[in-house]
Amino acid sequence: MLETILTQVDENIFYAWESWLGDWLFVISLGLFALELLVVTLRKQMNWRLIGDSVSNFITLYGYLGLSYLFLATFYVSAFYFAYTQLSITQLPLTGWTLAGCIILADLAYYWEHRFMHRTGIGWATHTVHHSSPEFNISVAYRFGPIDGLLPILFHLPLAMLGFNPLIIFLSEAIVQLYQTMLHTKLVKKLPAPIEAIFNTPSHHRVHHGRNRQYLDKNYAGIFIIWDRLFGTFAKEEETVKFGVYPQIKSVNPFIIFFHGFFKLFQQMRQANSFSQACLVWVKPPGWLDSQLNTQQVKSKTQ
Amino acid sequence: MKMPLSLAVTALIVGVVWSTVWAQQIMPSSTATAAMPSAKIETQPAAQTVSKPLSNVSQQSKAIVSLSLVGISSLSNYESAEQTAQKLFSKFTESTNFVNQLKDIEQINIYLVYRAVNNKQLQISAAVETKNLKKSHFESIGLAAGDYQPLAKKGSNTQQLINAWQHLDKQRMFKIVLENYRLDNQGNFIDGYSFVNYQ
Repeated sequence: MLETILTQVDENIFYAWESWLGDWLFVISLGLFALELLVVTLRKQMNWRLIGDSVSNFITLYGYLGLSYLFLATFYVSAFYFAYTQLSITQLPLTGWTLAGCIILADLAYYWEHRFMHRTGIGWATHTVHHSSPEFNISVAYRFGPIDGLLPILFHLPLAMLGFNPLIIFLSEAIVQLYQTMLHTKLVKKLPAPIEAIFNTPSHHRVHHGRNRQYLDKNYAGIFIIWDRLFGTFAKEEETVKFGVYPQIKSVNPFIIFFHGFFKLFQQMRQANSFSQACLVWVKPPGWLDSQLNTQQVKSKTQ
Repeated sequence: MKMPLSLAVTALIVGVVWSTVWAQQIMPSSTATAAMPSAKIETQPAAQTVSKPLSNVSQQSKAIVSLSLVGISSLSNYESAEQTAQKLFSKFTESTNFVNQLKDIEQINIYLVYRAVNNKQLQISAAVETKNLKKSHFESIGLAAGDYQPLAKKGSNTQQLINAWQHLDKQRMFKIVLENYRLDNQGNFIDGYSFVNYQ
């Protein structure tokens, strides 16, 4: 195995790995979700809201997949191959070293992409779907917003320009995604300290999904929590996590769940006092417009 | 951490990881230890230094989709490229494994892949397509897709393959030069072609 990793690897191997991950990711997740449901049932915590919320999670997944296939499938893959063949500074060989490097950089790209999704109006309009569940289980990992598949390209395309073969990039993205999916559980408490120090864990990711004030905009990491520790966005799980977003949407209607972020974004654009302010709502952090309007109100009262 | 500093640290991490990966590709790879029975193929591979009289290639560029190859590689100086390529070529074609495989097929394509490591060294590989040969004695040779321009057209003879090296654009350093040798099942050279992928 080590020999394979350290020498040139057949492109077909990466393709096979990526296909395997793609095919089995959902099946493995469903198995774990079934296990979670069993534990919840045994603990007599099962309720209709949890069932409705979980069903909605999978419906948003189909909405996301539908939109992704319609608008992105060919564009997404073509963009990576165009960047790799026409814009790259080199073309790195298909080796285990390349894969290892690509996973690290794809994870770093995921950190920034994730931070972008939380700290811009357009990002949050789509990503809020994932965070709006008051529950926290594997099915929440499949709760996607309308353009969750579009924005990450901005952060991952540079990898192709650095010379990573798109196949390796897609495989790395799949590995980060698989790892991320497995973090959505309340069943696993804390892991041994060295693991908690380096890797993202269910505990760290519960914090990320928390609406407690001290947990807001923390723990963006995919696989390595060291990115959050390094960039000052880390928070430890101490207080019991309250899941969901402010304000809570209190609905299990998949249509409302899927589009509520964009309803709110367009609502904010209408509230804006100027065209430039309406445009800035897309790129400024969520809540920016409210603070702007409040400041203006205070100014007008004091004048 | 402030945003500008965070971005600077990110750029630094990207630089370190990328450099590490890039450094791995220029490390010399080991040659395979294939058995060497009596010489079956007398065809001499063409490999000359790039410091030859040059002229621009006017033919239209053509992209090659990635080839899956297996073979053997060695690091070489430009000055000794020809000898290294010949050594690899004969080691490769003289292996028992290869000769046995030849009995079952009508013809086979051998490739010589020259990768520029820097302005002093080349990594040279002799390889065939994976479907034609058991992989046990050989390593995989990755050949990325890219903009490959023809140096010698299909159907070229040995002399034309050798002359093709003179058509390299001296102003541009190449990434890869790929030579194809088509052989029959007696090991006789039929024809070949070559491509270049510039930096």
